[in-house]
Amino acid sequence: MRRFPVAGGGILVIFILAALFSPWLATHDPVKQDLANTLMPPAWQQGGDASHLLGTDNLGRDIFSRLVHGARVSLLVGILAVSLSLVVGTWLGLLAGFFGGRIESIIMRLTDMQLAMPFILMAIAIVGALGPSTRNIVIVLAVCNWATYARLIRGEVLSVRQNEFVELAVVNGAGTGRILFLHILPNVVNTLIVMATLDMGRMIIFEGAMSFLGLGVQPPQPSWGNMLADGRAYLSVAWHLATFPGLAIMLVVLGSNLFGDWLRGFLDPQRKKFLAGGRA
Amino acid sequence: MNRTAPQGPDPSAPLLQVRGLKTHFHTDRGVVRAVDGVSFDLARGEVLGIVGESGSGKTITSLSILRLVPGPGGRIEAGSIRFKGMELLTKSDHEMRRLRGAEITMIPQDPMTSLNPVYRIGDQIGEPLALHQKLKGSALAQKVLSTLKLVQIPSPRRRMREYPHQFSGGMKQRAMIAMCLSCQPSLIIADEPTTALDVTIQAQILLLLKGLQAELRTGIIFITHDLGVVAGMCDRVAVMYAGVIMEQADVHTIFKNPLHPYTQGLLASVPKMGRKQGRLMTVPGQPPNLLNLGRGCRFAPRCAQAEPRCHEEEPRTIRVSEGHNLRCHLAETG
Repeated sequence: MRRFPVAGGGILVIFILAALFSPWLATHDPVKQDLANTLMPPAWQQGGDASHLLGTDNLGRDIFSRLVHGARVSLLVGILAVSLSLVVGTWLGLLAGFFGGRIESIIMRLTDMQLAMPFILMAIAIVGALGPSTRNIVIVLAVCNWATYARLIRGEVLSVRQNEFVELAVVNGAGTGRILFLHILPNVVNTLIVMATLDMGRMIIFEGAMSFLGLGVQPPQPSWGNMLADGRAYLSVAWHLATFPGLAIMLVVLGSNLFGDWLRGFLDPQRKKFLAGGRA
Repeated sequence: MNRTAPQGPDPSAPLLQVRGLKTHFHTDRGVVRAVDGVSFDLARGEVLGIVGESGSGKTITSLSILRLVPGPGGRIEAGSIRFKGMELLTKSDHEMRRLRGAEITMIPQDPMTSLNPVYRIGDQIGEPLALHQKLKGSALAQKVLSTLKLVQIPSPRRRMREYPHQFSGGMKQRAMIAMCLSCQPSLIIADEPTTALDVTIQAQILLLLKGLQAELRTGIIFITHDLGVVAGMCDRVAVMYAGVIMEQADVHTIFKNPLHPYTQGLLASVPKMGRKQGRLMTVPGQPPNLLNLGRGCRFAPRCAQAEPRCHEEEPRTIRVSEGHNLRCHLAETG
């Protein structure tokens, strides 16, 4: 049993706190432009100013404040998109894997269709129909992502239901719902956690990609994705515009992966014995 | 016998009465008659051994009793299964669910995968109790504890808080037996419950099962292909072949005076201790294809004593003496 990942958990906690307390943490209004002070470098570089810790962007907005406010959007989108696609995908995967037959065929053909559809095309279509907003990004990401969960869980269920404990539960009078949710689901949770923590990062990056295309979070509201996209054009003259949001995304992904890895071990009864110092 | 079965349990009726049970599988290549007219009785506190080769229909017979014939295509086509006088084949799914685990249960073959790795042993053993007797909290824990004591798991108070991976194969099998016994069912189907275990552990588990059976007066259907286990465990034996019972008698008769050539062949194929033997005896040939059975006796193609009419006409089950049934032409003529 590994110890709690202080670094990974710490990163996540810091970012979540930043997102929760962004109005108090931010030193400036994140959307207020200051055209006299555009592209200011971070405070520790020559030409930097202590009032703009991480410098300013091409419109003179404070990057630190935007980053802190952006954490709110990015984390919210990431968490909601992952949860939504996880819940939908897991449900369908459980049904497909457990019942088989026609139900399985229908669900699996749906996932095939979903997986064959290019993400960007779907995103444009859905946002085109619903209009760009934070809520709609979550919907787009969930719609584009549930199929991977459904596939994965179906495969896991197919293997878990081979175990005789499933038959034993049937023989002892358990109903279908009980078997699905109390006997099979807990056995696939580990896979779900690994998948979800990895997905967290992907979702934040996808949100960036969509914002980059103008389909995501609408300016001037900051998100890490659109900050990254805006900064790209200035990469040769002002490195800090794209670097800090990029760094933030990287750290959150790293933190959630470390945390997820630990959580998986924590929930696995086979690993618990190491915590107790071997079998007593 | 009256055709309308009473709905409630009848204390005077035998524990289990199976009559003319036919379970068929409808496949793309035709109908597989896995169980094709099986009849037997089981009294309270009696142990019936069902022996036979793989694919002879032993397991499908027991799954039919639980009404758990695997789909798709598997169906109980005909017959009657009366449990304590209640007809099981006309019960609703809900009624069957309430019987499973409470009145009828089955001990599975493989103890290694029969416990859910994510739950503590105590919680799993308590599941039938929670489902059927709606026990909770400390009442449930007490009952689980006493069940674990019943199957002789040492230091049960500590063991019930452990996970399956901390249990050895024999201990897992004990835990599973505890789970199946927790509601004190009156019928247990044991489907080769010891094949996955070491021989020494096998003996322990069988002794335990036999002791519990005598103590709780449980009826057991013991499915196995190990004739040594049959001799030690069972009161009566049914020999199955290709979906039918070829010979049925009490355990002494089967071992001392087997009448069916197949039973004789099975007994001859058991190596004897201390006797010098060249080759092991076998029953030559392969079990028949259940998709297209011929006209005659199912065993005729492999039978050393087969007469012309064995290939022409299927024998009926006849009673040789009290409690000794046989399905063979040779015995009819004497």
